[in-house]
Amino acid sequence: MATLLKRALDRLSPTMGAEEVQTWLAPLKPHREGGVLTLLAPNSVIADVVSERFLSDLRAVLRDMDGELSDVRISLGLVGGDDAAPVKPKSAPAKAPEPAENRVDPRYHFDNFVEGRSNQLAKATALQVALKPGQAYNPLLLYGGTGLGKTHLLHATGNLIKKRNSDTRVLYMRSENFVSTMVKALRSGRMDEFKRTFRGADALLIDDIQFFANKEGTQEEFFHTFNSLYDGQQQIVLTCDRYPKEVEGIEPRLRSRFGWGVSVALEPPDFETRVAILQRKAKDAGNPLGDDVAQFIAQRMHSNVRELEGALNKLKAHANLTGSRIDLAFAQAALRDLFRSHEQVTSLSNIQKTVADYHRIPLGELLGKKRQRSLVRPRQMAMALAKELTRHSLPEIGQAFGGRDHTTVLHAQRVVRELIEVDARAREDWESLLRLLSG
Amino acid sequence: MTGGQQPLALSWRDGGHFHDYYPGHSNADAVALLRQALGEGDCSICLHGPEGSGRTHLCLAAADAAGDAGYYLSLRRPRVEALALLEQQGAVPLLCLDDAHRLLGDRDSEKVLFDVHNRVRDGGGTLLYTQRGDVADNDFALADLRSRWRGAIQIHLRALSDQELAKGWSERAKLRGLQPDPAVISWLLTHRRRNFSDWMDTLERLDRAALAAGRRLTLPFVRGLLKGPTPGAEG
Repeated sequence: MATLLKRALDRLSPTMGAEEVQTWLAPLKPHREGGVLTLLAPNSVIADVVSERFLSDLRAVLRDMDGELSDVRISLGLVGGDDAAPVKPKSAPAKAPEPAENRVDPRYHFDNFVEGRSNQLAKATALQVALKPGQAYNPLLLYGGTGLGKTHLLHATGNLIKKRNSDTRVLYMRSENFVSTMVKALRSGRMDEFKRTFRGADALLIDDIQFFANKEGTQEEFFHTFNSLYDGQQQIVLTCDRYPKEVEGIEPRLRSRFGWGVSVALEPPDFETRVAILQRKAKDAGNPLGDDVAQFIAQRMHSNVRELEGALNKLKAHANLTGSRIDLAFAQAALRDLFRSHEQVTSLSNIQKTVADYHRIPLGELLGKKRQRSLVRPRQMAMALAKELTRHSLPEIGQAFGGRDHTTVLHAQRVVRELIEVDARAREDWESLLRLLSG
Repeated sequence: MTGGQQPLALSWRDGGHFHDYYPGHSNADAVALLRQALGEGDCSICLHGPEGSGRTHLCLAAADAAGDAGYYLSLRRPRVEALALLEQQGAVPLLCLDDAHRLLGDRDSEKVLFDVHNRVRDGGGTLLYTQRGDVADNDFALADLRSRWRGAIQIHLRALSDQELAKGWSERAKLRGLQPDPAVISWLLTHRRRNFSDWMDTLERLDRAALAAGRRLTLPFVRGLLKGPTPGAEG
């Protein structure tokens, strides 16, 4: 029956267009009973659109190809090829296993988290929480830009808690799944079960809480869940893409609770950490990298671990395809296009514009000659960022900043380096700009 | 002679499979890399290139090659409909999202894409995005999505050169039993968009017209047929 449907789709493709056929009709699974062919759609959108727009043509083609078909119908159904069967309502639904996306991912451990200056405090704190859940730091909030290892530490914490006590109930959830689970529970009148599930966890790990913003109902429920867990000394670990006080649309009472325990930032990895991450991941994937190759990639990709992984995956796929050894020349050729596009993101002009926007000063003033303190500091910051994030020389950077001398750039770099050591506000600006520029 | 054979209401249109994609020299490595990455799986891939470089063809081909495991969604449709499709898309082994750049720039739409990305990747599946231009040129509203796209295996498609366009088109014409005059190709190069997909549509049209008229593909015949204004035609 699947073959009949496939032939029908091949026939419809020239007139309907392959894109429409593949989007709407290819996901249908046939189920035949006698002369009636039921096409099972995986969701209601596909079922509705196929019924409205395509069913009459499809029915005509199918009946033309098989004279014994008396009818062709659309129904919502389980996906399973010829064995597919329409969904039948169950009087007492069996308890479904925890969906994959809600389980702690066993691949993430503290052992395979590459530590560097940028993340060592976060790792140490998470480790303490895993060793003494509910006692050491509660809640633990890990925050920082995307792709810096927050989720890795979240899973690592959950895994270690479970490893030390297999009876412990650790519940991991992305914030959006918390929202959708709650909505489903509300619709099906099963809020009590929802509350029991979350409030009964020994450790609740919620990823990306910034997506709770402006969802008042969810925040209300999470507030009560939080209180219940906290009062019961059950561990709460949260991640957020920025310091929670910076997230607009989160209720003040919830924000204040996020701050009850400890909040630790993860920063973009420095050069040495990037090299170590690359070598570790490449080794784990069975394609170890030489120092020169790892340094070559780390010099060009500054921002986050996910991008480093993307570069490694491309390198690995190229190497497997060609059967080549990964040396420096191979890496340079295989990653040429990637680095070209990456360098566009961290161009000098992009850095200048981002810094000017961040400090709300006109770009012309940032590049101009005025020496007011309100302009000098952002200018120095932008020059230091240019040195950090691009491969331009000091004279090139000076030239791009209104034709300044290379010694001015060097001075700016030193000033900023010293400033972020002693001035919390300057450090915050530097880190925010790094996050903005490196995604 | 009053005319040739009446063409059937059937069309032989290439497309949607790896075997009928014409990579030329420019895209041979990219296609090989795409197939390699798809074969290895458990990753995300971003396939980008200019208009007419064959992104949609390869996106369809990727889903087709994966059989029941591959799902293709064209996002070249009204945003509301695209988002409704994505919101209901479950975790699958391979999800191919064509023209995904159309949803960028709007935070809510990007959030839907981000959620789909997570659903598929959390389930160990592979995501293939196609998009026009370069990922670096995208104006993302959601940093989380940006990092996932930039962390994908980036594969660049290039526009075919004139020589590749001519060679690929001639080969496709020969497969249909057509033997166009060399002058036809020179004329097409100066009067049609340099876009293989557009050229294949032209071939389809010429094939049907030649069959109906019982004519060979000579320059006067082609010029007469295509002399109407061509949207976006160059030179």
